[in-house]
Amino acid sequence: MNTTMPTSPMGSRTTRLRLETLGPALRRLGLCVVLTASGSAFAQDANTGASTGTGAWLERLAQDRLVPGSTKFADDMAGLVARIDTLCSAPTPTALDEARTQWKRAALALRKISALPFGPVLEQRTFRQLDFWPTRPPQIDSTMADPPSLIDAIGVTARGLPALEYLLFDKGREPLTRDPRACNYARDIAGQASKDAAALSPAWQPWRSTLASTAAGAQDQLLSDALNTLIGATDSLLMKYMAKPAAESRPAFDAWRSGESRSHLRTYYEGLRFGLQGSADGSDSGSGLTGLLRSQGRADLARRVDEAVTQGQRALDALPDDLSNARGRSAVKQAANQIGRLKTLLAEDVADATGVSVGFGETDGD
Amino acid sequence: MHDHVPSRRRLLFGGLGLTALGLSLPAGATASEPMDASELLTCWSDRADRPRAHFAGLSAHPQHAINLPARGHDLQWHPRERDLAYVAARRPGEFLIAFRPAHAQVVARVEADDTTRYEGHITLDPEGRRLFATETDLTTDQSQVGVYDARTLEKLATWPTHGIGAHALLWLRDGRLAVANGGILIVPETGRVKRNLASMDPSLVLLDPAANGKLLGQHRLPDATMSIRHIAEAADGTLGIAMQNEGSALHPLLSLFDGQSLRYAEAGDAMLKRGGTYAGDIAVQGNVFAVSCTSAGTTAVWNSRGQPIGDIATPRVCALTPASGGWQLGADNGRRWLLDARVQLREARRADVAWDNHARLQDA
Repeated sequence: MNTTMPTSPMGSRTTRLRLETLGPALRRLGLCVVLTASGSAFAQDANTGASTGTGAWLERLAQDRLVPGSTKFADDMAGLVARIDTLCSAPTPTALDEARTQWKRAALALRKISALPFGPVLEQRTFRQLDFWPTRPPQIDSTMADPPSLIDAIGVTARGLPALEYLLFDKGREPLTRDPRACNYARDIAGQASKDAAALSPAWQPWRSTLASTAAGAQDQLLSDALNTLIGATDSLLMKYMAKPAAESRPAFDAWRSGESRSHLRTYYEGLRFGLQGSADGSDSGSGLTGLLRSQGRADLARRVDEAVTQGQRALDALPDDLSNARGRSAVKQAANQIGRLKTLLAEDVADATGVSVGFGETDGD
Repeated sequence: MHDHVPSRRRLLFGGLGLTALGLSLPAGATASEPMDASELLTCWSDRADRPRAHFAGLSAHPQHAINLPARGHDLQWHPRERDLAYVAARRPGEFLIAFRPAHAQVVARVEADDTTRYEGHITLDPEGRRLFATETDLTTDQSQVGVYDARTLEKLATWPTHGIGAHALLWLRDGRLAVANGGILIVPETGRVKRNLASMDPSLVLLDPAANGKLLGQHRLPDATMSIRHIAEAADGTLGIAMQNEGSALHPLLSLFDGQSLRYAEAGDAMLKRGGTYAGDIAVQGNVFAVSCTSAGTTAVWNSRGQPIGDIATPRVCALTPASGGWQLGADNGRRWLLDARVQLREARRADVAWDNHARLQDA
């Protein structure tokens, strides 16, 4: 009964990795990304002979951004715990201002690394614990009214930096100077977040030790994870932080309660640029994903990524300070168009060029 | 061919920009066996490679399709209202839509919030009062059944599925709800990257919809690497389960649940090789299951006792729909086929679209 099996486009990927890769970006494109054996492992720079493969790229990212960024975030969180503790002990307007200022520092420090959920951050789902957003005031209030006996049992929707922003800044609430129960709750969840933040820095080293692995498929898997993570981060910026809140008629952007929406968007993008270009301004053409592309002889594609990143930066730079009005939302929508172009470039052309096959026909998992 | 000309004319003069939709039949297209696909509810995209537009509607009346923000996946007709249908987003999905496919009219729509991801499949109770959707709680990674008012898509309840990576679910004739826990963990940060292949725990669970989703049974195969994904119920009550193989050893892509336990269907070595490792859809005719082994490009047919009837090359086919005398097959290269009970294949029609994974014929 059987007939000769044809060569199917879907069946020809004999080198497909078990670790299927597809970023959230591709949810909407409906595409699936599968790394093939031609995906880059280590490469040697033609001029310097330096290692420029995926492992070297990620090691540089860890060194330049992930580890120092995690340390800074942990320090700022420790400072926030101290400020809130002071506030709860001596609830004065000055203490409240200092706690708010420290929250801004800590939240910005988190935004510097939140586009880069690599290695232990991904495995431990750290940002889910620290950064659940959009904020859900009813769940925070109900948890606060009847808190669990163990702090660790507080659900992700009632903890983390956005929940602290609500408690510290929301104008519809009693200020923490006049709400000791809320202040104590804020101290508890700040302490919990600080503990999570402190655990980040030492967690990088085991991951870094795997980056130079020459085991079969190891570098391909790194590239798969790295590219999908960056595509996912670009999609999060586009949809979660820009397009969806821009479609709301009420204030809805990240950190709107603290008036930090614009700086949060730009800082998130700065982190993304470290992943894509190895620096916040794209000045080092030898590092980042674009550096990897250049080391593979794909300078034209790297240039296109650089251009798309620059266009996105310009659009974000052009955002007004106040994003909550119609003008602000319109500007965000325009900027989102630029970020969307970057996302498509990464999910299609870069995925293809780095040995990733892209196809509607990939239905694995559906 | 003559029989098909009027159809083509209807497509070309159907009203909206069919060329823009990529749905005019190409010159010379073969349509050797016209079939009545007027009520074939399905999703499609403008093209297979780098698609830019996604639709849900009736394959024979694409001018009335609704635009989707991303690929759709499962669809269901309302069991009582003949012009009402539903579509779920492809996993990891963000929307459920109730619509009238004959009129391109969206009746209700719901989007996933930031704690929920839709897993692609839906089913309804026989009265059409409640719609059930597979979901994942993103705060815990545990899967759940979302229970919705079928009229408004207002969420009424969530029931745990007692596993992760739930995919298809099916309202059974005896009033139970069967759910396929695929067992594969994916997370929002990396989309569809599978993160737990070494610790998968797929299962078939049976829930009691009359008792708030109470767990009635949970069943596993001996191989934890066989992800349980799609379900069909035969006339004799046997459940056919189409699977995805994440292990290194080949196994049949169909397992059977006889009410007591799960077991593999039978397949010789050659059939195993031809089936490959991924089944995309399952459809039943009486007591005969057809399973599209999509990555290998074959469709295999078994009876409900698990005995193989045959298999045949069906390149790029995923969607299977019971149809008169066999099954309709849809491929992502725009082809549709008719597979008969003797496991013989005839091409039915082509269109310049990429048919998606599932399709439903009314009253099928």
